Amino acid sequence: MATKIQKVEKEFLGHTFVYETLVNDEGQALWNKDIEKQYTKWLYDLKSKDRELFRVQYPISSNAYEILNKIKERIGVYDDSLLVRAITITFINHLDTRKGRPIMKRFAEYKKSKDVEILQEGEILQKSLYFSPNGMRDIESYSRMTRLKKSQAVQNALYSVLLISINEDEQIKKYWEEVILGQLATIAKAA
Amino acid sequence: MDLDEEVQDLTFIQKLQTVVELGELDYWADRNNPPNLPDEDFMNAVERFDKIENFKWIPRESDLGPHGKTGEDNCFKFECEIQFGGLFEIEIIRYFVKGYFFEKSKLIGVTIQSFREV
Repeated sequence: MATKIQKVEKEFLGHTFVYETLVNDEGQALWNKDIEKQYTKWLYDLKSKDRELFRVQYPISSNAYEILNKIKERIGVYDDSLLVRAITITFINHLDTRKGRPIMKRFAEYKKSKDVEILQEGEILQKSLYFSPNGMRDIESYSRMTRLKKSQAVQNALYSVLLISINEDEQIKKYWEEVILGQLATIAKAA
Repeated sequence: MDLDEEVQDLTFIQKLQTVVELGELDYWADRNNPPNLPDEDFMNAVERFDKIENFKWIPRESDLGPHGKTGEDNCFKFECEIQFGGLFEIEIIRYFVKGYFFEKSKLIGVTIQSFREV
């Protein structure tokens, strides 16, 4: 088997990133840190040309929105988009990974609680948020892997985190106070 | 940073996660048959690996690629199930992973040759 340098294309949000890399006889193309740097730059350029590509719409019930507003006050972030983005990123990259597994297992026990019904009740509001290039990459990949639409992936993250925020279980409450709130504040305020 | 020191006393899966996080990742993407999943999906999956199954070390056949001659002689391969969480019910997905660590003399990264759904 041999390898040679070739031009390769990668699709993202309907646009094509073209890069040169090693390709073997099976058509496999090597992705490494140098290409990663080029791709990151390309993503930022793409966002500066067309910000709308990085927008995701999601529905939220008025009851859920009330809880979101309480979190906004608590951490001093007054923009829906900033906080929902921080919630989505924290959920995908922390809570729903091995790091958050103990708490998510505990949370699963409350998935049929009354809180879930109450949270989903009320008028449905249509909202949207803009992701950073890396955030959009994360949400695209997460959606592909879970077979959820991007709006559903945001909704899954948002409703899960809102339910965690009002859960009375001691272990979940402690994790919310000591880990998640701090992460949300850091991500939202860094934007 | 000395990656060899960082991964000392870790389980295999913890070592893989640490090397992906702190070291270099060479990922063979775009293979047609069978197709490898995109590198972003591997990055997302590796943080969710917990219990692995059918784990084997096998002699590496190919010495091509940037670390082909200097990487470890054996490849790892295993399967792993991922259960995504949250309010929504999401099906369990099973993945196959194959690759090797490099360099033989000093650990600096990992090459992923295969990452696909089983």
